[in-house]
Amino acid sequence: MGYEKKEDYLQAVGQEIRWRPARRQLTRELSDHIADQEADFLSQGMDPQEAARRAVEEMGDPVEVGQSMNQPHRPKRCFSLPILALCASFAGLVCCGQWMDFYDNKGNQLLGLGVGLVLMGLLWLADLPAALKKLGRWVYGLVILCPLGVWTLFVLWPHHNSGVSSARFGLYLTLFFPLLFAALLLRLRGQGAWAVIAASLAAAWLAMPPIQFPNIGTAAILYGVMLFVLSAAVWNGWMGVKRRWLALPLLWTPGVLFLTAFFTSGLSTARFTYFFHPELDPTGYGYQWNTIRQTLDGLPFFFTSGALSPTQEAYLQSGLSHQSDFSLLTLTAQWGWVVMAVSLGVILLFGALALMRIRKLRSLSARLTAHAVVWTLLFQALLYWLAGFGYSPFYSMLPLPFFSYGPGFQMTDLALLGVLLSAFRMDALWQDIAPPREPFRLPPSLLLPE
Amino acid sequence: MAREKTPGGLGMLLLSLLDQQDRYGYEMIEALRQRSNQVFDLKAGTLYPLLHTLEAQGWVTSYDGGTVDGRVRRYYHLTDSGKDALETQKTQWKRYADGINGVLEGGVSCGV
Repeated sequence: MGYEKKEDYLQAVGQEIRWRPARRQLTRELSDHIADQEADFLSQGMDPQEAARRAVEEMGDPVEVGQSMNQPHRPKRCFSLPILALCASFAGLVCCGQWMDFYDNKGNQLLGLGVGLVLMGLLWLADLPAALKKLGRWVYGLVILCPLGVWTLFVLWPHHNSGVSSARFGLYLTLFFPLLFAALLLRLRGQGAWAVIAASLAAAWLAMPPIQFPNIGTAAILYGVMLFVLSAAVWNGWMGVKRRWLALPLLWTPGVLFLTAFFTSGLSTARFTYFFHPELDPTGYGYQWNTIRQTLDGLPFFFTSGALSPTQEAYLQSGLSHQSDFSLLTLTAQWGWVVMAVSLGVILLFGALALMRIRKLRSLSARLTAHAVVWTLLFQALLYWLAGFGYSPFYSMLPLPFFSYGPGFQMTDLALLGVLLSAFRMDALWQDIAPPREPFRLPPSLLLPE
Repeated sequence: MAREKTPGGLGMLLLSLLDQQDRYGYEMIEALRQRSNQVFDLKAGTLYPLLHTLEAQGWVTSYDGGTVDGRVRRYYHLTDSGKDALETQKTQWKRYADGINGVLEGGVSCGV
């Protein structure tokens, strides 16, 4: 069947492309091609009607074209991660709500989970590449203003005054900063060493607000995640830096220097002393680590009888067992080491599944965005696990993703998961925002003569 | 004996065009036509599915590179793995073409 009109031809092609976002993008490209061809025919002096008809004719059979374009443009599905997250949420709801009877606000938790799941679903189905594209140059403004906004929130409503609400919510908002950072990197493609320096400064700037909270653990998580994403961008040639072996160590130098200065200064001496020797002050600075270690000492892998040892009894009566930061420890004190092993296994399984999925992504833009989300969730979970079982001198105010009690963070982490799933789903359609460019160089007139 | 696939093909030609500079679809058809002395007159319906398959393989990436008269130019860019694939295909093609030429020109003496 012949098609004389462009619209009819495009509609016939579009009917063969099953995925709607792909249909829009692909037919737009063909439409522009037909317009180019038509303009070329017109410039050769052809009659306008004839030029339009010939331009469509040159395209080939629409059914064949549509079918062959449908093949590489299918949404990529990923169900393993949401299933794992749902299982963790359900387990958290049952464990924290049923056996840890001090969490009496189950209604809010259920509401948070419900809203979080809706958010996750909406973001999963959203056209993330198009949204990032629309963000355009606004991303520079957001990188500057968002940390200022959260910082102001912490100053106006400090954590110790407001308890759990406003300040904690601000802290959860900072979990989106690595995503913002990834959006910034997508715009800085091919800009060379200067862009890498600017991006590393932006990473430090975006990681700062939690220090005001104050929570250095969250700041370290954010900075670490952003350095990972930037390193991945540099390593994959995204930034247009040729000497990658030099750029990567330089990138990590400020962080390493800062950590060295922090660990060798008097600021952290007391923390480390009581972390390694909590028995020196078992009721003061060392109370937390001392209690955790005593609780875990001699604990069986799995409790078969209902009898608890005096240390376990003492822990369950203590204030620590009533904090959501120690939910896993509280469950371990009741059920044995099996809780520790299973929780670590689930965290590592989540990370392994997500990273394997990222390796399969075609688009580097999608990969950088996915890295920003996955490492945020993974670092958050690992620090929670380490601190909860007394293996870290630092602890984060962030809960265990999907599991811990707290509607605000449930919504945040499920929204992040939705973004990750959208990055996976839209991979086949993800176009890079910026073209690869030559790195910025100083004009020859400004260079010193050789 | 297993049948061997002929090396090269349109995919190699498109990768070769992109090796010099980023191009959009219409430009590639024109360039291919001119550089092959009108031998390869590719239809758009053949070009775009092929380009998108190369993109799915990670050998090219695409980006919107500005608008001309309301038409958005979607440019294609050869990736590092695309460059490697091109080199491999070129080598295979040269071996194949040498083999064909050897047969057509009477074969190579084995030093007897």
